[in-house]
Amino acid sequence: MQEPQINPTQEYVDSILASDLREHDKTPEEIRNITAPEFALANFKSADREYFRLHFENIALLSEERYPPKYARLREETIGAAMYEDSGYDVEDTDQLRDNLREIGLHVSHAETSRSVDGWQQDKFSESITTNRVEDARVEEEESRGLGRYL
Amino acid sequence: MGRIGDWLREWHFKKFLNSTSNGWLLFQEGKDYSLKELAFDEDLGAYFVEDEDGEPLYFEDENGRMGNLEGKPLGLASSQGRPIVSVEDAEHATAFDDKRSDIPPLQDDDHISIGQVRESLQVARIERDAGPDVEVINPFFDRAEQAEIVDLRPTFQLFRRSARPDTPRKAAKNAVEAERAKSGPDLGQIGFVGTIFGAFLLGAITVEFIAGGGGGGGVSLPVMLDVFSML
Repeated sequence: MQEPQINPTQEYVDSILASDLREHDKTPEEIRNITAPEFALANFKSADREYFRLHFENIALLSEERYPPKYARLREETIGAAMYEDSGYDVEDTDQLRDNLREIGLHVSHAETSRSVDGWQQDKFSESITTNRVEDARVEEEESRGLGRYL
Repeated sequence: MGRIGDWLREWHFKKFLNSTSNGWLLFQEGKDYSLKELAFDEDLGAYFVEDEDGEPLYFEDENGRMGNLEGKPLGLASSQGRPIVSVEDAEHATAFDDKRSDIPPLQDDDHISIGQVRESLQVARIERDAGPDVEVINPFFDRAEQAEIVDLRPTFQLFRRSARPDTPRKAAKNAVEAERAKSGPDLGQIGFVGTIFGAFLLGAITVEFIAGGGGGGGVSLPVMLDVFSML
């Protein structure tokens, strides 16, 4: 007897919500957070989505200003530790790729929040559960009929 | 007329300086300098001036770099950063940049003790969590003038973060528009209702066309609108 499959599975949900941007090691921490899968599973209105889009732009601005100015010698670890009197000084190497990922992250975030308008993504997961349960029930019914299924 | 002219010039100059209460900012943008009137934003705790388009540019004086010109506050800033700086900061930064390229590498047979370095050149020692401690020595040191030791740390702490003058304005604008978006009508819901209305109206017109073409009469438009208003 076939075991009923529990859908959506954790792997299925993870694959739907996976993001290469979050996995990239040069993606700023703030951008990882604003592209978190929680935003795709929320229940937004269109106005809420616009609200978060604008605030995420501010987060990107603050993220950019965390580090010393570009091309500054202060980005060198030893000099930075001395000048800022910070024994744990460890500035991340903000090259152009990181800046590009910051911009891309805003677009990815906007795309992910589109899934949460009126709980669309949650509804889709629920439909998947319902569809699979109907299919599982149908399979069980056919198996229980034995030879009768050939009539 | 010379002394009277000097007096008049000084009088006009002081009158000009006193025309504002918050002071002045010598603002550099590229190769262009301008003297801009400073205003103070209580909410942000920062000074601001207006650019060519009338948009505010914000500047911070958390490190107390504002100077004094005839009793009026005067600061220096550029379009590249929010901190208000001074001429001394510019001197330190420039000299530091020059010194870095001038330091010759130590030779294997050079003799200088650690104690001598610390005694003559050190301005600070930073203990690090990982790696050797950092001994901050003065790159401006001149043996003939041992009293001239310049500590670079206050200058460089002005630039700990990449702060642009227009960032507070952009952030405030986004915040205001965000609140406006959230408090306004939900365009998604309006679009949904509009779609329903449009579909009903199209169906009513179709029914009117078919019924009116078959036997005359049919449902008049005012009746259709009354039916819709009941929904």
